[in-house]
Amino acid sequence: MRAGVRPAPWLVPALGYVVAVGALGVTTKLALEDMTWPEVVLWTAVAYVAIAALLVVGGGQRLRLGRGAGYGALSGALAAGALIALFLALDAGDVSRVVPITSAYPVVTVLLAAALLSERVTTGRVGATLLVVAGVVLLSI
Amino acid sequence: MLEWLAPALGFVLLEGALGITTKLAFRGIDWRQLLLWVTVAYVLLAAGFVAIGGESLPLGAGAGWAALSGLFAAGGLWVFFVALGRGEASRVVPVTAAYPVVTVVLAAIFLSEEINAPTVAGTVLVVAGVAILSRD
Repeated sequence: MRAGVRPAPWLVPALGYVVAVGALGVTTKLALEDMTWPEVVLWTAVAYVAIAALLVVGGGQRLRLGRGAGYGALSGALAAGALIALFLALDAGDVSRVVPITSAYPVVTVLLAAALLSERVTTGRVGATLLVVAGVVLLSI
Repeated sequence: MLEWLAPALGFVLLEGALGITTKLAFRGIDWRQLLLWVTVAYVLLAAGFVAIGGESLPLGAGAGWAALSGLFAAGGLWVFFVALGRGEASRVVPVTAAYPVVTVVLAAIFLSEEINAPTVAGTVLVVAGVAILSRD
């Protein structure tokens, strides 16, 4: 493969996220047929504890309190809060309507990335983000 | 008022901010440390549900789907952190927004929801946007 067409190093894990979270919308809806959203949160906590145990026991990781820990804790709170909001929405609405709306979150990220991380927000990047959001809106019809 | 809309928009704000706080956290810790912090948040939340709400871990119908959902949520966040560790938030996060394509296909297979012409057109737009963002 020529160097010019080599995929970006972040693309494979990003597409892994697409598959995992895409499937999450369906499995959550199936789970909510028989249980409440707080019970699904408990199962999610079990999954996180299992992965954390692997990192601690297998990878020798320890929870550090130094630089970056504050944003790490904030990220944890945002991730848990976002999942609860998703469960509440899925509990009340059809998965094919709820999930497309939730995918508008890159608009928030792109704006905050320009304001807080000084990332370049180019015309092409904004246009491509709008393409993704527009496509997702079409998916919700 | 659509009762699912408010929590859905709450997800948009929280998930949108998550991409930024993750990049800021990477200035001091790596994705493994970040996953440990997310686990702490979930354990505290679960402890609150058990202690205050009287919830318990159900093992009956739906438990398998719930456990699978937990694995997808945790696994998804893991690769999200790996991707953000390698690329800019304003490029990585828009690509991750393509996940409804997977949901729509799986909803048609497992929940018997319909795939129509707008669904196909929407998928084409999403893939085009992802292709533009992923050019290195």
